[in-house]
Amino acid sequence: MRKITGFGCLTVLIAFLGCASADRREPKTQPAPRAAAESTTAQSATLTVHGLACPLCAHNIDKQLLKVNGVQKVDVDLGSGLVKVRFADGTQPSDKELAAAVEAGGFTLNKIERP
Amino acid sequence: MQHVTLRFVCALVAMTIGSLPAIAQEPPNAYESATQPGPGTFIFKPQLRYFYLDDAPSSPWGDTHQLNLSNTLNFGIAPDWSASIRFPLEQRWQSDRTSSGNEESFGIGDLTTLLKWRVWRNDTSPLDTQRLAVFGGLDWPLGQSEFSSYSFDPILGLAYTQVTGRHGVNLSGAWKFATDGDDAPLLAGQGQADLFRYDAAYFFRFYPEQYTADTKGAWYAAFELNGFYETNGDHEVFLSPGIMYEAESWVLELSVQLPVLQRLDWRSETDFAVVIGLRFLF
Repeated sequence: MRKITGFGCLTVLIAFLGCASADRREPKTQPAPRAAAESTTAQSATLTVHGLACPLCAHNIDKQLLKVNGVQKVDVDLGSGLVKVRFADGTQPSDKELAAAVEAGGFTLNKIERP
Repeated sequence: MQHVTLRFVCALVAMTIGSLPAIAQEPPNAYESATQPGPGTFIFKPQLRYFYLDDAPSSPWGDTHQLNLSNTLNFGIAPDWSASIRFPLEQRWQSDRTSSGNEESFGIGDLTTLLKWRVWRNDTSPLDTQRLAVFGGLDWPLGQSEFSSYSFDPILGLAYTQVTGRHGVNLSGAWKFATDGDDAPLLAGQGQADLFRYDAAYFFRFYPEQYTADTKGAWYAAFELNGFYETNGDHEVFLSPGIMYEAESWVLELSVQLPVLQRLDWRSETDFAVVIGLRFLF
């Protein structure tokens, strides 16, 4: 029984390490300098997505959207289904590219709004 | 004995730490669910299971303690298609009724490869979804003799997953067609009879009550029924309560399995099992 307890403790420890090393929805590209970031605040889109289900499920949408050329940051609000996508300076992914990424993640895109 | 245990621990640590950051609404004990990673995304799921078996009527062996480390790597290959490879590490301690001695063994079990196709999806609100998937694959007899079924066994199954607010349901069934097998199997699916695995699970998200933009994780209570029916008439059903914490890219799950039905003539009865698992999405 002592061995079994040891296995359990070890696995909890590994979970903790896994947490520490987990992907934190970081952008694929380096963050822009402050001035540049301010100038690109309009370069974003808000997607309304259905079927997000759970935090880990929703992480699939981050992974797919961050593969789209120009997507710099993704923030998911599970409660409202709003996915805010920020683009890198000088880029403007098309609605079609964003819709394809949402579909690839296994979700349903309802609406895309751009400021 | 310590030598073998040490090897098992080393393998566990190496395989888990070697992975990177895991999908949820997938019950800890179910064979499959209708969730899957997107294209180019991986989920690594190491799961450690300890179970205690009564002595088998057809075997010289007495009580059996077994540790199983199941390692599953899922990867998305297209928006509705994913594949998985599952390979277990096993450690077993058995008492010998005839000599009153003990034997310990360590090794790899049979490899399982599966292909899953999501055939239907209905997303009705930001959270709510219904999904149906079919899957098929093969058990490869690559395990060591005491942990293998000695046969290439095809597998075919169906999984349904539904999330409605704080509630989740997962139903799955899988048929394993045995082409050969062990004469004196210890576990379900190792003998010469076909195995039908059926699983029903209910999830309840008890924290947070409502998701917000700041939500970084969620706690779930899980209640499962896991059935193992073999065409030789053996039938075993477990009630499996559990708890699960799900973060944005990893999951920790804990569960126990308690038998509620055991009609077994060909293999040992499982008295209980304890399961601890992780999932990392990367």
